[in-house]
Amino acid sequence: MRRSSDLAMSALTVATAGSMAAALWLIFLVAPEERVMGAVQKIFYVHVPLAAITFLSVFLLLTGAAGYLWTRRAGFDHLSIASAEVGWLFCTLVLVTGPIWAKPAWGVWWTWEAKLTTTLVLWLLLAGILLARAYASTPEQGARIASVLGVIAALDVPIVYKAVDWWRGQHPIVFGPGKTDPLAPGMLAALLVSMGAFLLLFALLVAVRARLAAEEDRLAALLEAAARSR
Amino acid sequence: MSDAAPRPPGFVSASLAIAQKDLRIEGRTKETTLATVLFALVVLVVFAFAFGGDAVQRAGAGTIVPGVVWVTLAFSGIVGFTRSFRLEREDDALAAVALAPVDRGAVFAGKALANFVLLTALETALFPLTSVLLDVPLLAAAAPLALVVPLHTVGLACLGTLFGAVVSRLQRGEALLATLMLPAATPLFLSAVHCTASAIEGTPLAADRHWLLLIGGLDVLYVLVALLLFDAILED
Amino acid sequence: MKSYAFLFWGYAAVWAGLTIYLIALGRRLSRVSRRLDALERRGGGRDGSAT
Repeated sequence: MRRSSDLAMSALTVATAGSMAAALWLIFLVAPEERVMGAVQKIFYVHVPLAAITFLSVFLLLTGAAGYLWTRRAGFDHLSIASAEVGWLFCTLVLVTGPIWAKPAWGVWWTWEAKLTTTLVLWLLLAGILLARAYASTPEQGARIASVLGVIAALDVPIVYKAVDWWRGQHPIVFGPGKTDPLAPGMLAALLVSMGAFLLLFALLVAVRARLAAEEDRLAALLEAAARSR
Repeated sequence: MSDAAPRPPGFVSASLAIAQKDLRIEGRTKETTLATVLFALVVLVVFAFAFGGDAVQRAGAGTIVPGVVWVTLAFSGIVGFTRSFRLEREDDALAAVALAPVDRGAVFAGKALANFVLLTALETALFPLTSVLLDVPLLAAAAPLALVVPLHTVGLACLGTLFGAVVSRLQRGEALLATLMLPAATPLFLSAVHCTASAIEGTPLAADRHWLLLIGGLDVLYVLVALLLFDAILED
Repeated sequence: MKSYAFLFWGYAAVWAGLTIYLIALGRRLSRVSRRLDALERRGGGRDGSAT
């Protein structure tokens, strides 16, 4: 059993590395430079996948958290930890690349528009979940509390988005009716491959983090058994 | 004498009993009320220093007052929520309450109700104080405020009770309450500030129909989610 | 040109963040694996003391 999951992990690593390389090639050597914004627009090829996957991770977090509360199976908690932590990392990168793109493109580092604000609130919610785990007195309590917070966070995200949308609103529209400039074919290919590469990377990170959580559980159980048998 | 064991109290009577207990303790000691009202006053004063005493004259009542009021309420409320569960924690009464043959959901409902009452009491002091210190007439807006404020206070009480319970399980968790609760309270906060601004500026509430629907829905959602999750929260 | 600086820092931040995380994960994983292996080798765990 250990063997095949190790094999899968290695395959995933190779696939990730390969697709990342392909993505980088497409981004820098194939996709044309955007007319108005110039080279800086190329940040979009990492920013968009990072953002999309961050919200995917919220869905995974909900699955893990609700699953753990319902069944108390450790596997769900491992998914929960992994998606919260990796999701938080991706969220951080979104919040870093966004302003780096926004400043040269639109002149401001930040605006309180629906997508940005929701991402910031999500970052705070995920940080809170990670913090709460650290403050727990036992791992089991940490798992339970983090699951409760995870469910609340996941349910909150769409509501926050809607509320902020009513409150403000003006993120640039890349796809869809508001778009004035459709993506050139080279750009679309670069974006899709980049999305795929980051998805594979996300899957790899979640798998490794979940494996780490499982191993740490095993270690804790063994240590406890050893202490008890003394 | 009947041989049957006494039936455990129903949900509503259990909730009311818990609320009554908390409020009676508060009525005797007045600890929480004093602490929160004093804290609210301090925060108001700090706001006056932060924005300048004539901020309302310069920026307009609807711009400054709703934000000041709701930030003050949020943080004063947090002072109260912390104490609500710490009381129990101190002699592990919470474990006894949790083990009592009542639905733990009733514990939530009772504590949320008590928190709602205490928050409302705080508001009856806060609004007049704000009116005086920031020099803004609020009496004319009393009717719309009487609808808007309690609607949002329900949500605040529910969230505060929910997160207060979560945080009471963690070591030194009180430090985390604001950090955990406030991001989750974003929609509530946005709605509260917007609707309060409308009330103060004299905009008819009908224009804010979607906000009022949102907060109504949120109140229901918070209660449902809390009832669902409270068992898991109070487990140990 | 200034926008190349932004482009560079954007990609640098992403790769730095991901790399640091991967390295940290890898180190934690190998540390836990080592301790697990050590415990399992010791078998019945009479002296289960491990820091």
